[in-house]
Amino acid sequence: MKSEYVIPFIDAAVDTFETMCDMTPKRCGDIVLEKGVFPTYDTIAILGMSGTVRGAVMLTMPTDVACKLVGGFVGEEIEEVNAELTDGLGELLNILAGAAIAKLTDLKIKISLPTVLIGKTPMLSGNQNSPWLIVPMSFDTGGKFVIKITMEEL
Amino acid sequence: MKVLLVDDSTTMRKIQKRTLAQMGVEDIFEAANGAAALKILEEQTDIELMLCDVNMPEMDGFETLDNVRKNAATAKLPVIMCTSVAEKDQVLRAIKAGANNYIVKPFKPDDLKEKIEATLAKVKGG
Repeated sequence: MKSEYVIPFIDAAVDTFETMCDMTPKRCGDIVLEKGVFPTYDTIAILGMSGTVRGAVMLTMPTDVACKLVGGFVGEEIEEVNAELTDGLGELLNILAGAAIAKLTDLKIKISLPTVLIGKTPMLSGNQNSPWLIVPMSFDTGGKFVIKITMEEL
Repeated sequence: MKVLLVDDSTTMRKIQKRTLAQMGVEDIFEAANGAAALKILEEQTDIELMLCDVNMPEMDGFETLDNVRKNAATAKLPVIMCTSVAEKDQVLRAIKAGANNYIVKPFKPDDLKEKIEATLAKVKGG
């Protein structure tokens, strides 16, 4: 995966969360590569990418941060894990991924419908030939999240 | 005024519903996919505007629009397509196929309000 492919996802996260949630994210660490089995936060939203690539994009964050983010999206406080939290986080990832792949004009990418998983300290593994690019982010109001992207050109 | 919201995301429908309520629209119908939307349009013959997502399970926004335009009873219904940026080219084609307008996600509530007002003004102005 070319490292420049990650920039549209970062820009899309900033635009999507500022516009739809009134929350401003920024980078908060170096972009790193992960292979094998790796940890995530306890809330994960993920969708697949197909077409001229095989890959996935993931948002992962502590559940309290997800509640704050989706609360900003729907304009109401979310205090517990419910259908609104999972639906809202999936929709935000869908918007983010749609905005990002529109900027990757060299590639013809289709995105799947998103899936949201919530549970304590999950570990994840992916295609061993295609490592994940990990982008640590944080909100100006506090709370960390990570964008993870894996993309193998076919 | 009666408005139909078609989107598989309940949170997105909630956001749209709030914007419409701020515009004074209270008669709002909701569908999670195109097939459910067509059923509502059969039952509620006086709906005046439909906001329709593109990427939905069962029946997507394009197929829904196609069905709406083919039915004489709904052929002239104002339709705004709601889409992610990635689908922009497809939506431009959809406008040629009969959508009255489109809005690209992410959008602010005011953007949606402006788009609705512009679409209705255009339709009324002929």
